[in-house]
Amino acid sequence: MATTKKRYALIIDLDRCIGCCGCEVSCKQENGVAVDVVWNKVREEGPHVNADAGRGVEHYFLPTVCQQCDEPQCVKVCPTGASYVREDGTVLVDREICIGCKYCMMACPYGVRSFNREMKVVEKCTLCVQLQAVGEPPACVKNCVAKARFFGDLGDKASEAAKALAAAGEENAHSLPDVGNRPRTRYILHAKTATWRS
Amino acid sequence: MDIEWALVFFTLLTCLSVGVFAGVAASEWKDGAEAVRKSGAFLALAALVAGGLASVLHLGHPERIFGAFGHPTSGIFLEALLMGLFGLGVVLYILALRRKAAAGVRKAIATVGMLPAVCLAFAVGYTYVMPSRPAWDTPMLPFLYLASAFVTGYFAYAVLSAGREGAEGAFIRKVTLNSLILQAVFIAAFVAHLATVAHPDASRSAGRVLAGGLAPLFWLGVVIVGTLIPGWLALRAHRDGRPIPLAGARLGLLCVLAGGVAFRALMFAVGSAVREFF
Amino acid sequence: MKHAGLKRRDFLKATAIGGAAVALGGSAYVGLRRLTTAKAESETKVVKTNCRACIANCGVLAHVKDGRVVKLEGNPEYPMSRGALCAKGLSGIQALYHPNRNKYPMKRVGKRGENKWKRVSWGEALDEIAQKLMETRAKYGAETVFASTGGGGNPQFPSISRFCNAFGTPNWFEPGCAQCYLPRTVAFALMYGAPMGGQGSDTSIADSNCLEIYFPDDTPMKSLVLWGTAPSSNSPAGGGRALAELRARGVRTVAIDPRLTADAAKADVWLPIRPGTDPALMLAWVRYIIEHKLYDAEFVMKWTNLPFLVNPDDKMCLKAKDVGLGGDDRTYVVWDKKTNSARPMPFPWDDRLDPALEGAYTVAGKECKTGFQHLKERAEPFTLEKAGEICWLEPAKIEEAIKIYADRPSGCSLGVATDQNPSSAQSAMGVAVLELIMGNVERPGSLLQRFVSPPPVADVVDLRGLLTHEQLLKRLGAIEYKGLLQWWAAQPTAVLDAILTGKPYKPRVWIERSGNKMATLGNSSAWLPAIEQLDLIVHMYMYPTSFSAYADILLPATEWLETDLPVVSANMLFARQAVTHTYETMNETLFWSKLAKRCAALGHEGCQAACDPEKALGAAGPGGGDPSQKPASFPYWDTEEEFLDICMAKLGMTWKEFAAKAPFEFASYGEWKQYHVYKKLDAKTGRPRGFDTPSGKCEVYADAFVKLGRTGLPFAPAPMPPASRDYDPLPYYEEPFESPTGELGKRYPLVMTNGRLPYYHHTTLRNIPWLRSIYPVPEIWIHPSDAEKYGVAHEDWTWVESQRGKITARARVTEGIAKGVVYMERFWNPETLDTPTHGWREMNVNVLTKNDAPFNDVFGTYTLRAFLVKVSKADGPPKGVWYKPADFKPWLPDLGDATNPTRQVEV
Repeated sequence: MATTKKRYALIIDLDRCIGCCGCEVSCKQENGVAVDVVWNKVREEGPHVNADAGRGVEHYFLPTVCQQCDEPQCVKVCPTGASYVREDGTVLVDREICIGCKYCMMACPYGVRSFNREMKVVEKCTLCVQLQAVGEPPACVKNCVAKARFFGDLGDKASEAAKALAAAGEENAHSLPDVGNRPRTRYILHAKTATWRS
Repeated sequence: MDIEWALVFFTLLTCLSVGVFAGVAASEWKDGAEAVRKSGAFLALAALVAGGLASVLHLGHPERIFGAFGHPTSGIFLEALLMGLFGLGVVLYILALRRKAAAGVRKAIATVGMLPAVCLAFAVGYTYVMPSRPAWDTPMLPFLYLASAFVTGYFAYAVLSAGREGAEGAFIRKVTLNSLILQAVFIAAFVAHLATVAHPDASRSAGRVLAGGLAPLFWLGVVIVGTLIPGWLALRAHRDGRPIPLAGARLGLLCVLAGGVAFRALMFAVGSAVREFF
Repeated sequence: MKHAGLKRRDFLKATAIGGAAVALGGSAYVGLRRLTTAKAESETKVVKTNCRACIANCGVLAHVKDGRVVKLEGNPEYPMSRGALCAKGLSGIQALYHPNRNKYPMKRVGKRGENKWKRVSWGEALDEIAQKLMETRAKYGAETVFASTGGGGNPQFPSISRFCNAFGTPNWFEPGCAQCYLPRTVAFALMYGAPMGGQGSDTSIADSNCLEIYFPDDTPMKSLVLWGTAPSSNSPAGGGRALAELRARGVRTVAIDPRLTADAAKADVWLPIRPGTDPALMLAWVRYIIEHKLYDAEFVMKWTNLPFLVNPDDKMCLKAKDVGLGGDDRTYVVWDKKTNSARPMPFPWDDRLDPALEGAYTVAGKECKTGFQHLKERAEPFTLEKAGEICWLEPAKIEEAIKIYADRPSGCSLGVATDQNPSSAQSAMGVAVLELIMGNVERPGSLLQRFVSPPPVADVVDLRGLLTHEQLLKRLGAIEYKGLLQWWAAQPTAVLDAILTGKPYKPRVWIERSGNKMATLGNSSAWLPAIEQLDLIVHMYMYPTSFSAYADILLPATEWLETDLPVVSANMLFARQAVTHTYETMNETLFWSKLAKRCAALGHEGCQAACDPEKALGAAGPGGGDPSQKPASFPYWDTEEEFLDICMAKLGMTWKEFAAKAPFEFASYGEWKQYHVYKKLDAKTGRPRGFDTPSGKCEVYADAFVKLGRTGLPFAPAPMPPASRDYDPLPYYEEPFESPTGELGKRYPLVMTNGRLPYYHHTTLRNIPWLRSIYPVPEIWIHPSDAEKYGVAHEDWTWVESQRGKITARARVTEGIAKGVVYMERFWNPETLDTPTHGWREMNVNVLTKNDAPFNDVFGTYTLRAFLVKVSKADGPPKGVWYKPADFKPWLPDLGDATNPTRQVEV
C-alpha cells in the first residue's frame, strides 16, 4: 500500500522502567481518555522466586499499549475500515466510522484496545499523532520518568527507537507472543534484570 | 473476557432459525405436515429477525452499519450477507407457501435456502476463530455452532409438530439425537482443545472449565441441562419411535436453549486474548 | 492509497480531538483543553513553574489557556528531573479543578462532625480566630494554643513555626518530624556537622539530598545502598529517574527493605529485613567492616573523632585541657603509640603523633577507651549469623551486600523507614557511622557533600528569638526528647496526653495546616476524645479531609499551581509561579501573616514585634547546628508579593524580575560542585575547614548526643534540664516492643510495615480520579505462605487488626514481601467523608499503629512500622468505598465559572 515502509513504534526499556505509572496519566491527560478507559497500562511480571538471582526473586514492570503490529489483525477484521493503517504505518481508529462492533478488540492478541462507553466506539493508543504533527514525541515518552520509552521509525536507523534497540542488542530485545500479527513494539530486558516471561 | 450477551443471543437465535428451517426443509423432502412447515418457516423468520436485532444491539453505532458494505472481506460482512441470503430464502419460501406453489418449487426453495443457512450457522462460529483468542482458535467452534443449530432447531420443530406430526417425524428424531451426540463430541473436543491450547493461561484452562470457577456453568448448564436432559428425551423418543410429547418437547427446547446460552457464555468466559493486558 | 492525505482525519478523528468529544463531560477534555480546532493550540501560553505534589519541586511547564491550566509536562531545564513528571505531578490539574475544593472560608453551623457549614468572608474568619486566640492566651496562656502541619498538600513548613514563635506558643507538631526525617537531620548534623537544609547534609534522596546521583555521567560512584528508601516510589521523577540512570551505567545497588520495591527488584542484592531491626543489621555491617578492615583507615584516623580517648565518667571525648595537656577547644586526647602516652591532638592533625585507634589506656587515673574501641565493642555481638537471626536474613546475603557497599566510592541512602519506629535515632546514627568510617564524605561519588549553598531565598525565616526560654520549657515533650529541638517542635503524643489529662496544662485551640491528621497520626482513634474537648479547631487545606469534619472553621489553601515561591535545585534557582487562581484560596504564608497582624492589632506584644522591622530582624534562630549560619529575619507582610519581594531582596531583585529571569544558575555547575570542602583552607586560621562539629572532625563517637540530652545544646538557645536518662553516643539495638517472638506474637503474628507508593504523597491525592483508578484501595502485601496460613487469597478483601483497631485492605499475595511481614500504605477514603466514618476508619493503617510508649529516647518517635497485626478474610469491601474506575467520575474537574482566574483575595 504505502511506497515507503515506515514502521513507527515504541521501544520500551524494562531495565529502566520503575513502574511509576506516569505514562498512564500523561496518556490520559494528553488524549482525554475517560477515567474508566486505558490506552496504556503498566503491568507487572513477577515476582518469581529465582534462587540464582542476587535478590532471590525476579520481577519487572511491563508497560502495555497497542503494539503497532505489522500485520494488524484488528485492521483485518474491521467491517468498516475504521481501524486502519496510516501512511506511516501507524494503526489508528477512525471514531467517526467505527460501528462499535468490538470485533477488533477480539482480534487483538493483547487486549490493548478499549471500548469507550460514552462514545460507543473502540479506542487505543495513537502514538499521539497530534503531538507528532508538531514535532513532539508521544506524551508517555516525553514524560517518562526513567527514560524507559523511545519512539521513532524502526526503519530509520537514526531514530531514537532504532538507536535504543541497536544499543540493547537483539538478544536483549523481546516481543510479545506473535500469532501472525507481527508486533512492532519491542521490549528491552537484560537477563541480569530478569528473565523475559511475557 | 466479558460475556457479550447480545452476541450470545444473536448466535443462539440465528442457529435456532437455521435449525428450524432445516426442519422445514427435511419436512419438504419427507412429505411432512404442511401446517408445521408453515409455523416453522415463520418461526425461522422470527428467530432470524430477532437474532439480527440482537446483533444490532451489540453495535455501538448501528446507524453506521452501511459503512460495512464497503469492506466485503470482514467476518461481519459475511455474516450479514449470509443472513440476507438466508432471510431471502425464508421469505421466498413463505411466499411460496402462501401462493400454494408446487411441491417441487417449495422443495427447491427450501433446499437452496439451506445452503446460506448452513453456511450462516457455520460462519457465526467461524467468526470467532482467531489466533488472538487461543481458546477459540479451533475448527471445533464452527462445527459446534452448526450442531447447536440442528439441536435447537429440531427441538423447536418438535414443539411445533407436537400432536400434528407427519411423515418427517422419525427422520427428525434421528437427526436430533445425532446432532446432540455430535454436539457432545464437539464440546468434548473443545474442552480437549483447551487442555492443549497454545499460550496456556489459567483464564482458558480446561481445569477452570472442569473443576474451577466455570465448572458449575459447564457441568450444570452445558452438560446436564444442555446435553443430558435433552439427550434423554431425544433418545427415548428415538427408541420408542414415538413423537416427543408437547411437554417433553418444550422441556427439551428450553434445555437446549439454556445449554446453548451456557456454552456461549462459557466460550466468552474462556475467550481471553493471548495476553489480556487491560 | 485509500488513507493517504487524510491528515485532518488522522488528527481529529483518530484521536480524542474530535468535535464529538466536547459534548461528553469530563472525559471530553484533552488535558482540559476544550478541543475544537488545532488552531486554538497556538493561543496557549506555557508557564514555567515547579510541582509541589510531593516535597520535591520538579520543573513543570504549565500550558495555560484563557487563565486555565490545560496541560502539564516536565521542564527539561530542571536538573533533578530533566523533563520527567510523575503521576502525582501530572495530576495537578485534577487537584486544581477538583469539584470538592475548599473554595471559601467556612464556619461550622451544625454539631461537630455533622458537616454543616456556612460561607463566611476571610475577614470574619480571621477576626474570629484571632479573637479566640487572644482570649485563650489571656485565660490559659499562649502555650494552650497549638498548631500542626505535615508533608503533603503544598506546605510552607517554616510558616507555622514562625507564627507560633510570634504568638508565644512552643507547641506545634508534625506527624512526620520524629517519625519522618528529623532523626536523620539530627544524626548527620551532630556527627557530620551538616547544616540543616543543606543540599548534601544527609543521605536522604527523598528529601532532595544526595545531589551526586543526579549527574550520572560525572560521578565515579560504584555502589549505592538503599536502606529503607525507595526513590522510585517517593520521588519517581527525581531520585527514581537518577537511580535508573545510575543502574544503566553499572552502579551496583543493595536494597534493604521488607518489601520488594521497584528499586529492590532491580538491586543486585535485596535484603528483606524484619521491620524494626535495622540497628542490629547496621552493627553487623560495622563489625564486618572493622573485622575485615574495609573502612577508610586514613579518614577514620585523621578526620573522625574515633582515635580520641573517651572519659568513662561523663562519656564525652576527653579534651586535652581537661587533663592538663593544654590546647584549645578542638584539641582532644589521643594515645600516642610512639611515646606510649596520652598526648594532645590539635585540630586538624599533628604529624608527630601516631595515635592508637583501638584499646583502653589509663589517663589521669582513669581507664579511657578510644571512640573506636567503644564502637568496636558495641558492634562485637553482631556477627553476620546473629544479625541474620534477628533480622530474618541469610548471612551470606548480608555479606554479599556489605561487599558491594565496600566497593567505593559508595553511599548509603537511609530513607524514612527507620524513622517510623522507636529505633529511629539509633538507625540514623548507624548509617552515619557507616558512611563516616567508610570515608564516604565529600569525595566524588559520595552522598555527603557540601556543594555551594544557594542564596537563602526559598523559605520563610523563623522568629525563634521571640519565644522566651520560659515558654520553650513548656513545650510538650521537649525536655525528654531534645532531638525535637532541632526542628523546634513538640511531640504529638505529649500534646494528646496533655489535652486528655490536663497535665501539665490543657491545650485548647488547634490550628491545623495540612491534610488529613486522622490518616497520618499514629493510632488516630486516640485523638477523638481529645478533639471533643477542644475549644476551637481550624483546618486550612485545599479540600476537606476527614479532619475537616471535626473542625469549626475551614480555610481554603492554594494548590501548588496557585502558589509563588522560589525553588532551589542543584546549582539553579527556579520560580514556582502561580499559574492561575481559583475561588478564594489563600497561600498559607499570607494566612499566618494576616493572623499575626490581627493578633498584633489586638495587643499581642510578640506579634507586634514580629510585625516590627527592627525587632523581627534579629529574631531568627540558628539554621541548624551551626550558629554562624543564623540568617536575618524580617517582619510580617501584607501581600504575597511583599513577602516574595523580601525574599528576593537578597538577590537584589523583585519577585517579578526573578520570575521573569528564572530559571538561572546561582553558581556555575563546576563551581557549585565542590568536593573535599573539609580540606579547603580557612583563610582566617590557615587551617583546613574541617567539619562544622565541636571537634571539627566527623564525630562518629557521637558524644554530642550525650550533651544534647543533658542540656538541649546545640539546638536550645540556653541550657535546659536534662532528660530522664542519657542519650547513647553510639547506636544500639533493642528488640521491637511488639515482638513477633513475644507473647503478643501468638495473637498477632505478623509484623506490619508501611512504605511509599509512586501515585500518592503521604495522604494526599486520594481524591484524584486518574490516580485512584490506578490504585483504588490499599493493598496488604502478604507472603504466599502466610496467606495460606491465614486463609487469605490474592485480591481478597481482608481484615487487618492490631491491638488498637481493625480495618480492611485488599490482599496482594506476593513473594515480594518477607515472610512474617505484611505491608500497607496509609490511606483514607474521601468518598465516605460525609458518612459517620468520615473516610478514615475503613482502610486507614493508622487506626492500627501505636502512638504510646516506649518512644525513641532522643526524639520521642512512636511506632508507625514494626508493630503486630493479624489478618483474616473479610466478606467484602467496606460500605461506600469506591474501587471501580468509573466510581471516580464525580471527582472529575469542575470547570465552573468560579475557576476563572481571580485577583488575590481582598481581606
